[in-house]
Amino acid sequence: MYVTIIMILGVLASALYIAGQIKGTKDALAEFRTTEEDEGEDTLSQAYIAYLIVAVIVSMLLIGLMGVASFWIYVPPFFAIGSAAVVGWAFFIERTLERRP
Amino acid sequence: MDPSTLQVHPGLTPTLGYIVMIGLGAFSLIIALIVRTKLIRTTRDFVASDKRIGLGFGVGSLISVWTWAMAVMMSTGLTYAFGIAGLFWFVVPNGFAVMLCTPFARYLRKHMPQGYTISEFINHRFDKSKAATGIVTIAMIFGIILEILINLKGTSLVMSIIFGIEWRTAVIVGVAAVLVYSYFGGLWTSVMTATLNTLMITVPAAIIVALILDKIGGAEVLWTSVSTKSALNPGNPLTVFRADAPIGFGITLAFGLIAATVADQTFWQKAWSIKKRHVGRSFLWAGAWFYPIPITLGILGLVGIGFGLTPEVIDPIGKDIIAVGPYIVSHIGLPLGFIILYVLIILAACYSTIDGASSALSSVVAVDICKRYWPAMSEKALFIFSKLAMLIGGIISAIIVLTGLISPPWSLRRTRLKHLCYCRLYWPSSGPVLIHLGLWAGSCWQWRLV
Repeated sequence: MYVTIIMILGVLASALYIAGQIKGTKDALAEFRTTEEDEGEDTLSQAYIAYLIVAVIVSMLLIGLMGVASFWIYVPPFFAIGSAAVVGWAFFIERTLERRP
Repeated sequence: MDPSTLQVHPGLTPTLGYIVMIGLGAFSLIIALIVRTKLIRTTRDFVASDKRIGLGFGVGSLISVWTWAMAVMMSTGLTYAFGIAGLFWFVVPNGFAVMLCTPFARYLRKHMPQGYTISEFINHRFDKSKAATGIVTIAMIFGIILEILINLKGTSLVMSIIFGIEWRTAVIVGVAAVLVYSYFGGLWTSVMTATLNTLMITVPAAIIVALILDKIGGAEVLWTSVSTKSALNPGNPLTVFRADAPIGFGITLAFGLIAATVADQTFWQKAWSIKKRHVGRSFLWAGAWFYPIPITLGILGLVGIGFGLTPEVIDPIGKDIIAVGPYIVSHIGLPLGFIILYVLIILAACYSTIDGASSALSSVVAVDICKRYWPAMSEKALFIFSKLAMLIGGIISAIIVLTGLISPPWSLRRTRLKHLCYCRLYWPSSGPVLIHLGLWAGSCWQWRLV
């Protein structure tokens, strides 16, 4: 059951990733034909420190909890698939972020 | 978990190993040739992608270049040696080091928007001091070569353990496979293939680990077996509070990793090539979403403990702990296709890092050497020199790996450079005394720990 779920999620994340990369490549080609310089400012808010702290704490917990109960050993592969999904998703939201003032 | 059940898969032949290595290189070469015709017009396109890399490619390529072949195997190896304390001390500083680049990358793009290399930045901040810039340029080149040779070493180890390929031949085939496609495409190829490699690292890692957990009867069986054993050191392998992990490698590694990102042109090339509005987010997300990769692969280290494997068994010649991951995957009884998938994880990590480093080397040579010392050099000549730099860097690295000449002072220079960068980024008024104090204190600290 666990392997099946991982496989299904893996396929879905891969599909999102590949679709994203194709979109990103098309966007790069379209931009290459323009001479317009992208002068936009960095859109990351100052609250990124909180994101950084949360990422570090979650990773520490993920590792530490593997020593507390066997259940937690099943969790990291879901996050690995999550990494692929996030990169795929990033291709789709970058235009939205670029339209922000 | 009975170690006598572990048998090498009979289908793992050297020929298959060469096919996998060359096949991945050939696939990347096709991408490189497409990129070359569609996205490369000038040297600026070649070394900096015309500063048009978006968020998706930014995050994907940063994760990939930071996931070294050694890192993939090291997370497994250190878990095997120190239990989850080893994984903790290896992983936590790793992602943090990338995220720590976020403020620096934003600062650089804001104050030096048209930059290309960290040496250029040092030149700017040190009032065009030739000595400072020259030292940093040399340190950058050494650092890049170190990056390439460490990955070549890791790849040769995997190919020799899994496919029985002679390690020296694996080094030569590996470096040739990467250099051929890097040569044709520049940074855009590096970014696109690296992003694709992130997919090849993340999802297969999850699937391989899930299959292995299934094969041994589930996490409960593993947890019970591990809780009664310790691989190499006395102590509980299921606690992060073991002192031997930070003392043995953790503290030194944490300092080294932070130095590696802050003083690495591979990262700064990306900082100047990603669209300004996405720079901060790219580094932040890359660091955060890098974490699951080594954590997932670290589980294989627990499997090594659970089976009670010894270094003599996993690597009879070198007794290297990083061989535990390849050993388990090739011996536990996975179908051949999944073993190849694991090899592709390592090769993807290796190729993308070497490719990224080669691309960084081309930018250093073009900007910090050719443009600085021969400003009248034609665009065509600059382009040729940028490409030749990649080839020469790869060949030198391969020769060093083949001869075994790896010098520890290289990492020392990187740490010194880190202190220098910190001081000059945020305290521009810091005088030479403070800078040198920082440099030497950092050096002494590192030597003491090493």
